[in-house]
Amino acid sequence: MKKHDKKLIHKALDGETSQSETKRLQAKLQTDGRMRSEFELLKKVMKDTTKIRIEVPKDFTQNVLRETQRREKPKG
Amino acid sequence: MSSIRFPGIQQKPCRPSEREFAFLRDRPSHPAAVRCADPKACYTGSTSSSCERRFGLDDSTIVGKCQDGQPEFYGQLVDKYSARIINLGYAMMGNRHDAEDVAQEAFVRAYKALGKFQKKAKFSSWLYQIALNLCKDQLKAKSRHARPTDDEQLSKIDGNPQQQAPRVIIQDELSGKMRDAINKLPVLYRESFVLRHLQGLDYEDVALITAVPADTVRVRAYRAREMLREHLAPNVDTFWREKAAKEKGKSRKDRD
Repeated sequence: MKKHDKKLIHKALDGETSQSETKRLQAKLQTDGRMRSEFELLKKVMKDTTKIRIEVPKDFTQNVLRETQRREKPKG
Repeated sequence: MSSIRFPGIQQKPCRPSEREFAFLRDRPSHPAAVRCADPKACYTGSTSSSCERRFGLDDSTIVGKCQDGQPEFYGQLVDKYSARIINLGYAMMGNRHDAEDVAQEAFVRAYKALGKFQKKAKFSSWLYQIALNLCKDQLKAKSRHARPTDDEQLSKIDGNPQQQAPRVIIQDELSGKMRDAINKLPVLYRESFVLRHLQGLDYEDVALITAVPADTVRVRAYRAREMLREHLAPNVDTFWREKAAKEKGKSRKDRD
């Protein structure tokens, strides 16, 4: 795939394409199967990465506040 | 204080009346002023967090109150940003334990340094900076004394590998590989990718946090995406093949 086509794909994934670039990309994706699968693949990777997250422990805020108080106390 | 009653406030803390609202806004430590109940909404980047919706206080107002000797307000900032900072730590460090440690330390350090914080600055960017620096320091130390990732830890739990799993929201095979792939990115690419794509910040904010020009952040995020794609392509292909096969099987079943 050409370098500028790859850059266009990444720009689109970043939501930074102009109107004319979006149109150009759409036209390319319709005619170029390889570019389409590359685009879909990257889109899928991006989508999957955003799913990785953990929950905040229930007592997290309390622990932070307790720790700030503990460290504020004068030593000795 | 006791002249105002709060019927049902404990059960429904998000909807106080106007009078209750005014009362609670200035008394965050009051039992009725329960803290942020919707960290998920904060995490997904809604412009108005539940803290702001409930108390009408923005970050700079809360910071101002803390600086003026009302530290009880700090809990609202912790509630608002805890999900984002813990998940930043998780993406950078690769395991839950380190993520929680880093996040707690970031909030404590931010609190201690609040006196020096300039109100013109953005609290969230400043907090991200503190957390990110802590992550980098820990990663340097970690390269000397490696701590296992969550997957390695899970595989060591005899008999009940699901023991710790429920707190990881997505814990399937693909996400495990995805997390490993993120952890294999060079730190500078990883931080740009994580802040831009997992935290949803714009390039200017990422540039401010990482102290490099926005165009450099763009290039780093681009390279990170490319590396992830190269690393994960076989897995994603497998995933697609299986998905396509499942869908094919399902449509055949439906037809029959």
